[in-house]
Amino acid sequence: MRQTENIYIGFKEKTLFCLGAWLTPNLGLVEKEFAKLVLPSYEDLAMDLSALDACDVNGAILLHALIERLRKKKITVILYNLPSEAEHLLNITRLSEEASLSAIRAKESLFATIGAGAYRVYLGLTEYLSFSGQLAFSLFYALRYPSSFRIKEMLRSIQEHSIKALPIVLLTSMLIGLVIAYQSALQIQKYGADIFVVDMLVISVTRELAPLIAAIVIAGRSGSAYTAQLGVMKITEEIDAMRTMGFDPFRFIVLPNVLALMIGLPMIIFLADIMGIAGGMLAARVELGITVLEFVGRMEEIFNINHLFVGLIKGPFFALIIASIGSMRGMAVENSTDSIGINTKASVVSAIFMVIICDAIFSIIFLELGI
Amino acid sequence: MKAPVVRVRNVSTRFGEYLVHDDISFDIYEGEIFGLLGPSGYGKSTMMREMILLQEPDSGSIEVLGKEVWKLGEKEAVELRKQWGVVFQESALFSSLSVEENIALLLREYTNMSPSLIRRVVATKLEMVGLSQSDGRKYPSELSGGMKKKAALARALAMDPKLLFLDEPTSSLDPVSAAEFDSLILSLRELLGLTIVIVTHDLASIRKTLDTMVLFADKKVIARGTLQDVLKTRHPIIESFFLQ
Ligand SMILES: Nc1ncnc2c1ncn2[C@@H]1O[C@H](COP(=O)(O)OP(=O)(O)OP(=O)(O)O)[C@@H](O)[C@H]1O
Ligand SMILES: [Mg+2]
Repeated sequence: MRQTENIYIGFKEKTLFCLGAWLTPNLGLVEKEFAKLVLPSYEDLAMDLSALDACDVNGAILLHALIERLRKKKITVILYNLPSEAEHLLNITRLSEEASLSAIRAKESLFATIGAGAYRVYLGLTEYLSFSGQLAFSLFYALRYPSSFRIKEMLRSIQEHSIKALPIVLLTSMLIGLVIAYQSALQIQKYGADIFVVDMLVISVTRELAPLIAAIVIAGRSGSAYTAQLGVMKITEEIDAMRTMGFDPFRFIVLPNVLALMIGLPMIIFLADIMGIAGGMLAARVELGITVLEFVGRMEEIFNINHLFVGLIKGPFFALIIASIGSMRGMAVENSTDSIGINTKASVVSAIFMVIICDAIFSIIFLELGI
Repeated sequence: MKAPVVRVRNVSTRFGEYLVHDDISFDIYEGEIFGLLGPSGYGKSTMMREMILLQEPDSGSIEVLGKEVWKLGEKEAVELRKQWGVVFQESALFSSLSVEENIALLLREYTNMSPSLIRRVVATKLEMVGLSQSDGRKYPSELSGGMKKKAALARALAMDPKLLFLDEPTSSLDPVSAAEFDSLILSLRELLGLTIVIVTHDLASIRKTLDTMVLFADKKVIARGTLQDVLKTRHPIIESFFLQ
């Protein structure tokens, strides 16, 4: 026996000595020492446990595993000097010998991982379809029985998710207008085409920037709020409680939220248009010396009301995307706290992504229509 | 007599103005199943939280496994915490982990056992508390109340503690499951020689499992000892408590 390194297990003359304290904190070391042993393939091997000072349940489990490993190599193990404590524990652990083997799980292959991923995407799509169906149903129900519609919920949702979001959306929009005007002023100045900064600013803000900024900020702020609210209600079984009382959560929570945002977002976009242009006006004044009067005069000349409508019409569509994905993700929360985090993240990311795709589709449509 | 595993000496606790414990002392000996009893709101859970380093008493001392718990440094406290297992009233399983992962968590964190040994240990603990291997793969939200209690017990047993704290393990269980749980606790003590501290209201499990107990009322311990000793004590609360 080597004394210094090997404190738990040693090998000498066909005998395996177990010694020291086989207690939970030490078991990792015992395993390492066992792995280092060079065991000759004797037909039989004695295992001397007389020097085993202490052994707990986990220690007995390890002892059991080691014996089993030796037996698999066709080595017969004979136990000597088993302390009564250890014998008792070995009896407990023997029970679960079989069970533990079946618990070993196979590692997934690459194909299985890809397949599982694809299947999840497919499930996500069907989930969204079924959600849209329920949403449409509750909308028709509300149209058929208008008195069942929760107008108060909707107004509160407008207050909470549209009006309270105004400061941050408007501030962002103004800063973007300012930055765009400032950056393009630097370029345009070189050609002496100063006044065209107005064209470029007004058209880009109203058609694209204001709707996108509003939608992205709202997706981050309100989309996540829808998911978290519904998710917590699901975990605390409030949704189930509502159902048993005959309150359909779609009618009471989801539909009011969706309609509220569809009304609120175009209004937000309109105000964001104004603030974006105001920001640009400021940059034009400072950087190019274009007065407010000149700016407005130029705007009057070039501005087509269509530009405004193109931006505003996107509002309800973006709102539908944000509110329905947020609500769907909330309803998808399962009974664990983790699930809220995962779904909230997924709700914001996929809402922003879908908004941008939708925006691209609009661009193509408007291009074809020549608006 | 064996050495006490837990020594509570002159402990007083107050929440703001409200005094919960007034100069309480008692001992818990090795191998005992010890009960903290008393009507609701009389400070049983608080006493247990003080023993397991979750809440500091205002005065007095508490020794667990020979260490004065509220005088320990951070490192010693971590060492001590590994030597006991706790089952909370609401089981407090981590909802994002499966039962197996809940049990394996401490082993992964605090030992360097190989994954295959950890799997064996988890399987054995599941078996010991009477859960099947397929229950182990479930998440806490997929378990019944009784199964959650068993899973929490398996998690508390993961590191082979010498000392187990259970806060109302059988409340919210039906009488049959509660009786099953009581037998489980008795057999664990039998097999592993654990010392078990239980907070409970349940008369059936008081009769069946407890060796000794203390009964809290009016900020004091009003009775202590075996069930016979406690029943012999004359006090209005004892009569109402055991006649529920
Ligand atoms: N964090 C706290 N802040 C203020 N008061 C508290 C706090 N925790 C407990 N208390 C009070 O201390 C008293 C004892 O509480 P404790 O939870 O220990 O009761 P208990 O005996 O376990 O009751 P139960 O059987 O209902 O669980 C109660 O009156 C409670 O209001
Ligand atoms: Mg309590």
